[in-house]
Amino acid sequence: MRFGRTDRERERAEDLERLLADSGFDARQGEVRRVAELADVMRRNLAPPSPTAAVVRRVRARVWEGLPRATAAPRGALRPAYALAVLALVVLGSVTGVAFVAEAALPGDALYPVKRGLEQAQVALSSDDAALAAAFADRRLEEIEALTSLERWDDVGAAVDSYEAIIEELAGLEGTSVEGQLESHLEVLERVRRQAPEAALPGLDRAIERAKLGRDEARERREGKGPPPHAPGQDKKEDEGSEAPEASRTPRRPGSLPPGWPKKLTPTATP
Amino acid sequence: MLESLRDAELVERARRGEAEAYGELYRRYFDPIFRYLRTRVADEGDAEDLAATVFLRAYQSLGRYRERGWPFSAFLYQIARHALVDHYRRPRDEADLAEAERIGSGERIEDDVGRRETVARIRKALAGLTPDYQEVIRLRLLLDLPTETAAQWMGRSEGALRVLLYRALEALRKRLGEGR
Repeated sequence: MRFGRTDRERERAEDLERLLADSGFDARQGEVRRVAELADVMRRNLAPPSPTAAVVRRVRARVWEGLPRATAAPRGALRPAYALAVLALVVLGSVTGVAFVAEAALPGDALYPVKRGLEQAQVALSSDDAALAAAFADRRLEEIEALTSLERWDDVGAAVDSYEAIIEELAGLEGTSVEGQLESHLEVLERVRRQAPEAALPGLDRAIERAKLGRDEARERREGKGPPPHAPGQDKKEDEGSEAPEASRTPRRPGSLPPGWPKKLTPTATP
Repeated sequence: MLESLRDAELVERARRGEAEAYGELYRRYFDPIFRYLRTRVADEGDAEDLAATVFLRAYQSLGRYRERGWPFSAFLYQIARHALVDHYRRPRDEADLAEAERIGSGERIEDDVGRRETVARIRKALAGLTPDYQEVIRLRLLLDLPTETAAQWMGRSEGALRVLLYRALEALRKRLGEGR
C-alpha cells in the first residue's frame, strides 16, 4: 500500500516538474495542475527581488575589508600615499586581487584612484568607446547611489563631479542609446534625492540637471533638431594640429575628453 | 578569462591568494545567496550583514571545501544556514517564512485586494509547514533554482527533491483548504 502511494507521488512529482518547466499549465493534468497553479502564484508573488547594484557593491566592500589581507585601506591622512602604493603594485602586476578590491571603491576611498586608473587602461584597450562610456556612466551613478546609502554626504559632491563629466561625454557619443539610459538614471537620482538630507540636495540636483540635459540633447539629436555629436568647430581645441584622415576618426576623439574621463592612449597624427 | 573557469578552479586559485578568483565566485553566487537570505530575514540590512558574513566565512573556510560532486554554491548555502542559526540565536525578532517573504511581494499585489488576501493566506499556511517543506519551496519556487541545484543544496537526489516539493505543495494546499 505504502509502495503504491510512493509510486503515485513520484509520478505526480514528475508531472509537476514538467508543468513547472512549461510556461503554461496543461488543464488535463487535474490534481497536479492545481498544485502547479499554487506554485505559480507563489513564484509570481513571493519571490524575493534581486539585490540592487548598490547592495552588491556594499557587501563586496565589507567582505573585502574583512579579509585577512592588508588590502583595505584606512581612510584619512595616509589615503593618497596608500593609493599610490597600491597603484604601483597593480602596475607591477604583483597583486592580482587589488583590481577586484578597487572595483568596489567609492570616491573618497583610498583605492578609488586605482579604480579610475584601471578604467583608463580599459579605455586604452577598448575599441568600443560608446559601450565603455555607457558602462562608466552607470558606474558613476552607482557610486552616487552607494555613497548616499552609506550616508557619506561629504563624498557625494566628488561623485557628482565625475558623473557630470562622463554624462557630458556620453551625450556626445554616437551609437549609444543615451536617451533611455539617462531616463533610467533620472529615476534612480530622483529616488536617491527623496532620501537625501538637505545638505546633499545641491549636488544631487546638479546630477539630475546634467542627466536631463544629456537626455534632452540625445532626444533632439534623434529627432534631427540638434547638431551631430562633436560636429566640426564644436571643439576647436581638439582640431588644432589634428590631420587624421576622416575615415580614421571615431565618434570621440582624445582632445574632446572632458575632465574625469580617462584619456585613451591613441596614436596621434603627425603633421 | 576567469569567467571561463570552473568553480573548483576558481576555489583553487582563491586558496592560493588570488582574490580576483574569489571575486568571480562572489559575482556568480551573490544573487542566489542574498535572495535566499531575504527569504529568511525580513530586514534587508540583516540580509546584507548575513551575506557579508557568509562570503567572509566561506573565504576563511576555502581549505575545507572539496568539490567531489558538491558544488561551491551548496557550500555557500550551508554556510548561510549556519549564519542564520547564529542570527536567530541573538535576541531579536525572528522573521518566519511568511513575514520574510512579504518583501518579495511588494507592489505587485498591493493593487489587487483579492489577490493580496490570497497571498496573505498562503504566507500563513507556509509558516505552518515543516522546515523541509518550507525549504524546498524557498529553493525551488521562490529562488527558482533548477531541480539539480536545489537537490545539491539540500543534499538529496533529484527524484527525492521532486517528491519533497510535491508533498510540500500538497500539504500547503491542504492547509489552505482547512483555513477557509
